[in-house]
Amino acid sequence: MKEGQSIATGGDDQELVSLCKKGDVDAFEVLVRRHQKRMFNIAYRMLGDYEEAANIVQDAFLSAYRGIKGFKGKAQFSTWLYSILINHSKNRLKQLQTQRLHEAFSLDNPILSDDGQIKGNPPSNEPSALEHLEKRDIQEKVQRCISALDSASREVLILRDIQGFSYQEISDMLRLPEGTVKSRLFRARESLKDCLKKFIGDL
Amino acid sequence: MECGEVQKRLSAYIEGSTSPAEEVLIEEHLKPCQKCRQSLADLKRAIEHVQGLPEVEPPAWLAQRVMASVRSEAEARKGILRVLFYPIRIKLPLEAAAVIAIAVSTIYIFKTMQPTMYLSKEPLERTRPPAISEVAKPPVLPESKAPPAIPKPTRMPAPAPKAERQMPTAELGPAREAYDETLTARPQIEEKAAPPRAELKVSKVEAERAPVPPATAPHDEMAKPKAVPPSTESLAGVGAREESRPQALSALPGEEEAYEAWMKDESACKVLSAAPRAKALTDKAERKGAGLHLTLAVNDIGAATREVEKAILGLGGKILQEQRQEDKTTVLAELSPDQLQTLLKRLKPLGALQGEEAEAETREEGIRIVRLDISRGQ
Repeated sequence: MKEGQSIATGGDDQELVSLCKKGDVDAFEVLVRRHQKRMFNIAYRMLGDYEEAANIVQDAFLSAYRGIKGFKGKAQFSTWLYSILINHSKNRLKQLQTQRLHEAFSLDNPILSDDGQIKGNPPSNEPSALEHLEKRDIQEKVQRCISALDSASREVLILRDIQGFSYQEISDMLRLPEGTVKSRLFRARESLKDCLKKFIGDL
Repeated sequence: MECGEVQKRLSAYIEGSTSPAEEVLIEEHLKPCQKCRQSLADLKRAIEHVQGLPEVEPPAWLAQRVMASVRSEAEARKGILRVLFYPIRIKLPLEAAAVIAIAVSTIYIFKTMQPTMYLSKEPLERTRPPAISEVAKPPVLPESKAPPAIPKPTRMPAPAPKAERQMPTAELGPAREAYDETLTARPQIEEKAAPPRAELKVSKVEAERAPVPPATAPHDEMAKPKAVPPSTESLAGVGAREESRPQALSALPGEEEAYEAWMKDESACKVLSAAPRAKALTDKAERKGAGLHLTLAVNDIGAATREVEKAILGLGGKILQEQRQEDKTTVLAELSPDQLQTLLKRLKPLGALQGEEAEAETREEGIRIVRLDISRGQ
């Protein structure tokens, strides 16, 4: 495989990073090809949209290239790279949420939920949404449930249960203590379980 | 252990990250508690579902697109650096070219400003009587055109020559009429007011430049009556600008007098021009006769004339015209002002010389024309 060869000949991340620091763009290309798949998968699970994911990955790589001279090598390059991606994804999520909020809701005439609270973000476990989703594939439902999580829970769930990073790595990426990572993860799993139960019924 | 507590720890229990003591407690609770067992099963399934999500293949163009943006960024950075750190072999000629360009434009600007600097000579030439003949000579025009001298030429605004340039020659006739009006109207009002003189002079110069309108010309002038106001306005504008610095002018009393004198000369000229002007213009001898006028009364006109010619030629002068009549010979000559005194010395022994008292003044004014009437008398 051509791509595999070029990656194999490119040496380890640290060597490539030091080449990049000297202005070697080709070395950076090796890094891009090596990490793009995982980057794209994380972004896709975070955003739930193929196109958005591609854009965010591009932005994150560009940011990494700009900031590579500031990368001291304390953590692994991949950890540093994914933390950039997570930040970009979270920012994009915020943007999208604000957009949706502006599109769907009016502050003058807010839609109130049963308990009289203003519905800021319609959860996808509403009956209507459920009916809509029942026609879809279970994977899509899982993705929907992931997307329904708040971004703090979402990133931990994706990094741990989908990408399989260690708590240490996740803690480095998110700059959070391991305990916080764990508690967020367990909360995220509970929410996901509840969501899926509503979607699918018997799990 | 309560159900709630157990359910909180289920996730950790699945991970295997609970302490052995907790694990025992949870397992003891799970055995009889159907609800919690169900929860555990659901949680495990949910995690399985998440972990079972397939890997997504990134679009084939992703790496290419990323690298395209990275490369363009790198290029842009290089571009900036290149501009900042051009090699000296490129930078030096560029800098040299810039220096030359600045030098050339500086010289050009100074050259275009020069006419205003010549102005300092102006008043001397102004006060001299044969202004018309001087104006008629094209090369002298730029000088005689300019407003009266001000000892600080750098403060002199340039607009006067500009205003003239804007005026087509066809409009000069009407301009003269305008000038005549201002000339006759101004003096009484402005006995004291020196400032507007520049206006007057500019207008006057225009008048001098204006050819005497031929009998058929009025037609053309009538066709362009609108052209008159703008021209007089522009001249008035010049005057106004001149007025803005009256202290500079009024602070020079000597020049004030010179100006008065000049004004008288000008009115004299005007009277002359009002008389058969066309004739005056065509008669060159007549016009040139307006230099230093000497009369010499001698016994032998012929001999005296020869002596005079010799003297003039000997001093590097030029005989412009010689008119012989029965009892009088008129010699019109051009001579360097420095040589005038020597000429007078040589003329004295020839006969009775009159008009020499004007020599000093004439010389001062740089007059080169000498008219000598040699007549029988002694």
